[in-house]
Amino acid sequence: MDPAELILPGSYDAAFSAAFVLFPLFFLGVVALIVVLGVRGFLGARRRREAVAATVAAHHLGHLAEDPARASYFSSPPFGLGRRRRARDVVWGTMGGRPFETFAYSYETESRDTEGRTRTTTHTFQVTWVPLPAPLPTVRLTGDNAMLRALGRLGGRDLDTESHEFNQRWKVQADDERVAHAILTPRMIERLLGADLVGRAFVIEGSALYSYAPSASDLAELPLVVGALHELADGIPAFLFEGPREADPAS
Amino acid sequence: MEWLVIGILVVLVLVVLWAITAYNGLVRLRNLVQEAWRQIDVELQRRHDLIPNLVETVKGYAKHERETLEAVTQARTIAAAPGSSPAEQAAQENVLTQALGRLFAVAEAYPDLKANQNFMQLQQELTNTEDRVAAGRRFYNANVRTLNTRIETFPTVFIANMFGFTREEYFETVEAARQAPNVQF
Repeated sequence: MDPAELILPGSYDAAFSAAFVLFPLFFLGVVALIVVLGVRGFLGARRRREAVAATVAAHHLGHLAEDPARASYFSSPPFGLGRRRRARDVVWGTMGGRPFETFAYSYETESRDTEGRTRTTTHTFQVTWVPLPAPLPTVRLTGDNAMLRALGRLGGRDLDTESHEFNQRWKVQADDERVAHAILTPRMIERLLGADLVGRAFVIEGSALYSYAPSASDLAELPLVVGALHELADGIPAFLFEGPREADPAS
Repeated sequence: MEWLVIGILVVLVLVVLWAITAYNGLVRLRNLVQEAWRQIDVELQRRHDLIPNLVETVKGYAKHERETLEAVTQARTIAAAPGSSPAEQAAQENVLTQALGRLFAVAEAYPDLKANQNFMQLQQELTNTEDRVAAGRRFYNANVRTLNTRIETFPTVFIANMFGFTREEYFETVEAARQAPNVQF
C-alpha cells in the first residue's frame, strides 16, 4: 500500500490549518519573549544605575561612568581574558576611614556552534579592591561556584591547608606557596569560611587585595564586601610586608 | 616478532621515563622540606636570641618572680640546643611557649614593666618572629604531607623504597601564647 494513502484527506487539512495558526502564534510568542527580556534588562540596568547613584550620594563617593584604564588594572583572571574589556560605574572613596574602589568589569568571548554561527557572550563581574601596605606575590582564592571555579583552574596547582573544610570550599593558587601558607592563618581560614563570603573570589595581586563576584552589582552589598576586604587585609601577617629574613651566615 | 620487540622497548622506555620523573619529583620535594625546615630554624634561632633580653628586662621590674624567669631560661636553653629532630624541637618549643605565656601573665601585674619601651619592643619582635615560625610551620608541614603521601602511595612507593626515601616528621607546635592575657576588671 502506498504510504500516502494512509493520510486521510481530512486530517491533512486539519494539520495544515493547525500549523497555519500555530506558527504565527509561536513567532509572536518568541517576539514577545524577546521584548519582555529586553524591557526587563533595560529596567534592571536603570534600577542598577539608580541604586549606584544612590549609594554614591549616601556615602559621598566618587563616580565615573566608564574608565578603560581600569579594565587592565589587574592581570589575574577574569582580567586579561576575552576582548572588548570594559570597566563601568567606577566608584571610589572611603568606608570606615579606609580607601576602596569598585567597578563593573566585563569582557566578551566568541564561540562557534556546529553550523559555524558566531555567538558572543558577555561576562560581567563586580570587582572591589582595597590597597595593601606593600606588594605581595599573587595569591588567588576562588570559591565553590561554577564560573569562579573555572577561572580558578586557570591559575594552576591547588594548595591544601590543614583545614579539610577550607580545602573543600576554596581553591588556592599562589605564585609563592610560602606566602599563601603565611596568609592562611587559622584566623584567616575561619573568616574565609564565613557564610557571607560564599560565591566570591579573592585575589592578592601587587599592592591590592580584590574580590570579584559574577554579574554587575547594584552596590547594595558594598559595605559588607569592603568590610570583609579590610578584615582580610588586616589578617595578612605584617612580616610579609617586610620581606624574608636572611639566615645568619655565622650560624 | 619485530613488533613485539618494539612494543616491549616502548613500554620499557615509558617505565624508565616515569621512574626518572617520579624520582626527580621525590628529590624536589625532599629538598623543599629541608629548605622549609632551615627557614623555620632561622626563625627559632631568632626567637631564642630574643629571650635573654626579655628575661633581663622583666628581671629589672619583677625580681621576685625568680621561678617563672628560671623556667623560661631553662626551656630556652633546652630548645636552643642543636641536634633535635622536628618532632623533638616542636615539643621543646611548646614547653618554651608555655613558659613565656606564664612570663607575660606575670608581667600583667607590673604596670611599669608593661609600659617599658624595651619590653614592648621585645614583645612585638617576639610576636613577629612567632608569626614567621607559624607560617614556616604550615609551609613545612604541607610539603611533608605531600612527600609522605607520595612515599606511601602506589606507584611511587616502589621508587621511594628503591632509593631510600623515608617519611619526614611533622613540626607540630601549639600556637604561640606570647600575647599577654587581656585582663579586665
